[in-house]
Amino acid sequence: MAETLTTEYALSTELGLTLVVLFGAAWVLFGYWLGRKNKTHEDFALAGRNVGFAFAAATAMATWVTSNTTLVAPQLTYQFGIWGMVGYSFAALGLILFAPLAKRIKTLLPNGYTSGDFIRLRFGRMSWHVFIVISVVYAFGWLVSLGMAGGILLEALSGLDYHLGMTAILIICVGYTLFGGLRAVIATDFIQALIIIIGVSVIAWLLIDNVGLDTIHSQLGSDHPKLLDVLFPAAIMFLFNNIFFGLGEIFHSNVWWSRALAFKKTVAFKAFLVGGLLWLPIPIVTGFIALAAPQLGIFPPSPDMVGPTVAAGVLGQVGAVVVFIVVFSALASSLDSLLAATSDLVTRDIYHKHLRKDASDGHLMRFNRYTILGLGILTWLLCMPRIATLGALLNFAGAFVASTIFPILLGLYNRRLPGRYAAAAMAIGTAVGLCSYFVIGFYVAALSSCAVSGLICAVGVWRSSEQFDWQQLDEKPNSQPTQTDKEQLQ
Amino acid sequence: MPGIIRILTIIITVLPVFFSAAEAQLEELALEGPDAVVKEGYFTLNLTGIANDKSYQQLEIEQSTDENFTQVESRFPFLGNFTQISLSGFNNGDYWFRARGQSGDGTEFTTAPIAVTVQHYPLWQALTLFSIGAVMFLIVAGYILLAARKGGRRHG
Repeated sequence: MAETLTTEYALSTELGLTLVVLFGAAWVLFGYWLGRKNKTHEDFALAGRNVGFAFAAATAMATWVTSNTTLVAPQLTYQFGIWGMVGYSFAALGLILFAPLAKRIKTLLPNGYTSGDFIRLRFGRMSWHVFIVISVVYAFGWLVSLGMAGGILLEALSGLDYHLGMTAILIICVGYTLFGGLRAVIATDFIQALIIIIGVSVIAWLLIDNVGLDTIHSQLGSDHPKLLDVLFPAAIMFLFNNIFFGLGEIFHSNVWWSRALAFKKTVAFKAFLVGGLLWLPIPIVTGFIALAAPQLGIFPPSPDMVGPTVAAGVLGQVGAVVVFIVVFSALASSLDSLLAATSDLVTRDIYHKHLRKDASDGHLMRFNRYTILGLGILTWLLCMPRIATLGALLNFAGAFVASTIFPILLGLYNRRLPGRYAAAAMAIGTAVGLCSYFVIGFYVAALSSCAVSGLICAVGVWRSSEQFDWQQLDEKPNSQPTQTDKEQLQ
Repeated sequence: MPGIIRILTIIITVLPVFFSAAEAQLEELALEGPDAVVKEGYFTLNLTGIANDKSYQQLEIEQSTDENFTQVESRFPFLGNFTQISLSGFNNGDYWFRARGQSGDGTEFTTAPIAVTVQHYPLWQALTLFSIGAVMFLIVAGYILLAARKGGRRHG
């Protein structure tokens, strides 16, 4: 994308950078202050397993409001019209349907740390290996999309170089996650959730007040008719694909399992339910912003830039600052969660369970911190070449995660699904999903992956006579903080 | 923790090296579009051949239903400093596009037109996938609700 034109951005580059530095410093200092309360690895990774309802619901909602919601929902609306907008909001079903699963997880794994723990204990090593590959691909897909989103946001609003914006958001999120662990992640999520709800409401109100629904409708009808067509074929294909992608993301990811395990037992169900209901209208609002683009004569270079560009175009400099704060909060609330959850997975599932079984609590906590830093660096390297649009990148991961829906679901509630069928369902489902992604399009990858995986699981349950003992999931912790660990941490 | 801070410092110090990649100098302005038939109604057009040392103004894409542009149906301005534009919401049909604008010295230019063919997926194919998705979703949601109710009764 070479430089040619004279059109000005909503924010000056200097103001964009100033906002990044101010917000970044505030979050990192807050994370550092919260991190002083972490005394054990369990404190750092699971916030002491004692998170109450308000923080729990806020972190569920804020983590799910991410680049998906603030940048990809407008992108998909710009591409698929009203189905893109409505279909995207159905991703709330992932959180809502995870509510009963969270309660079940808390009951079956009172000492569990990660989703990998569950797969290993329930289905054995073969399934665990497949699951870890899926989790790592997904985690990096999401991490990279979030890093990219930071760069795209600043580029769209202030013309700041993509690489600089992307680097800034990564440094900030790695910084406060490194200092504060899950406690900092959940506390910042609470504040970020408030900012997101208020900010999105203000933007929607100002947009309708400034542009008007009638003018948007008539412009779309004449120049972009397919965006209003309820029988838009690719959009119809996308609808359930997006639902299954969302279900797969939440059901398998340690981001959500670590929250289920960190919440108090009595609040896990309610927190995910309320978080999902709070999240439901947000993609409608952010998606609607994209429908105003043609009326305003805004045609972005990349469809994932449409949301912030339109909002800033309509609302001017003050609006652009609000957009910046909202999207920055949304990105940060997800990026920190993903860094924390993925580093837990690496520390617990790979390092502690396979490489250093005798590691002390303090050693694990240090390793966890180095892992967060390593993940941040790796994400930064992967974000440098801007390889795809956010929507396409995210939906690539859909082929992987949707294959885990039925194995997780049946693994939690059905004693008969054997490990070898769970492994085959995840591996073959992913392969079929990837074929669909490349042969048909990103909007069918998750659907086909889930369908094939579900069929294999059904055969597994039908042919098996196994009766899994749920007690095997209650693995006792084998690393307690030593006196030296406690002294070092204090 | 001091080790982590040292590594962060090194990263921040070497960052600027990555931001200084020079762009290629091109001479011929041309519009590039999708190579294949568009099945989703959205696509990206890219204006190539922009030289770094020249400034251009009022860059826009013109759309017509014929190659000679006897009638310009729509105009789409480029955003900011970008030479790529994403368009969406097109019905089935053949569309012609060209870019036009002014160079810094006021000289107007128009690129050669390019054709984009939009042919959406058949509706039966979309509705088949939609139906499969709906059935699968009912199975997943129904199973969770039944299992949760059964589990709740057992624990209760």
